[in-house]
Amino acid sequence: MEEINHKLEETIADRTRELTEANTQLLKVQKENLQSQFDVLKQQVNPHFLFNSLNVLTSLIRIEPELAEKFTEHLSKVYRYVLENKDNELVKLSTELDFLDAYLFLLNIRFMDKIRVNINISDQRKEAMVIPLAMQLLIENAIKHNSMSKKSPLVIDIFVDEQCYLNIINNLQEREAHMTSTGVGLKNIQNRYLLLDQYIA
Amino acid sequence: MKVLIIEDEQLAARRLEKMIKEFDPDIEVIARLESVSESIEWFKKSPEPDLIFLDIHLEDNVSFAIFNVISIQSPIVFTTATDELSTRIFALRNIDYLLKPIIQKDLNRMLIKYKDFPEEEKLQINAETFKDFINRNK
Repeated sequence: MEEINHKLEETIADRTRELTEANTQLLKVQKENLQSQFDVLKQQVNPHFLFNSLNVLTSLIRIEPELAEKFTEHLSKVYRYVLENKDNELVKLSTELDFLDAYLFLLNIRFMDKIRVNINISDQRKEAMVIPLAMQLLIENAIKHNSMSKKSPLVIDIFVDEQCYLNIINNLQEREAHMTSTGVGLKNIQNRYLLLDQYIA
Repeated sequence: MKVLIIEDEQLAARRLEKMIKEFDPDIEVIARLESVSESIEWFKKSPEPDLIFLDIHLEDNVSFAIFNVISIQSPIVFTTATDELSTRIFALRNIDYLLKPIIQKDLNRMLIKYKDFPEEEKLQINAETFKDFINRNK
């Protein structure tokens, strides 16, 4: 009789331990998820982009008013995309590339010949799913940490390689005056893909 | 009056030039420079302007780097979109600066000051005085 009781107690203890571990794991994943969502939100309402855009717009209004109007249209397109996709974990690459076009329009007006972005992706590959707004963040990083001039522009190549990886590559032209970086943006992208990996697994 | 604009965003430079002309079409913008290296080359072979509008962040470096190589006698009005540290230093040391986007009223005030005020009132920045206040405010 005692043996049976003892065995029962052991089993209960084991089960309890297992449940506690599983629960802790679940809480960890939930916390990461929330943290990531929060980081994404922070990035999306990052005031720097809007501030810089408004500065460009102020100049355009005075010296090229028609272009100012086009600029505003594309700026709206960018924010519409953010509003519509901020809660999506994944979007079609073609949709993301559409958004990128609008974003690059704005960049080209601000930087003109100082930046060149080459996008080389086949239609077939455009059906793939990606996390939204990651490419834009990487481009922002490249701009933040590299010097850009007409004589030596920042060149960014975007393509899908043979291993089916989406590549965003820029030529390195480190700034003399280094910008501080928290690394939060990159970490955020990594986390989001890691979490997705877990869901799929 | 001859004015020099050092600003790496072409749109902003063109806007500033237009606004200067709005205030007084007789003011001459003698050049628009975009980088530290371009500025250094320019200063080596050109006569000094009466006034310089100098953006803090240029495409190849902070504009202060110019002072390491060239001693500038002309008065300088700094411009910046946002740079809390620098603007705080400027305010402390009574150095003129304008926040971008530049407002016509503020620009006019600067142009009036540097056009009409006597020599002694104008701020003279050269490598020595600038290094001095940078070091004191580290």
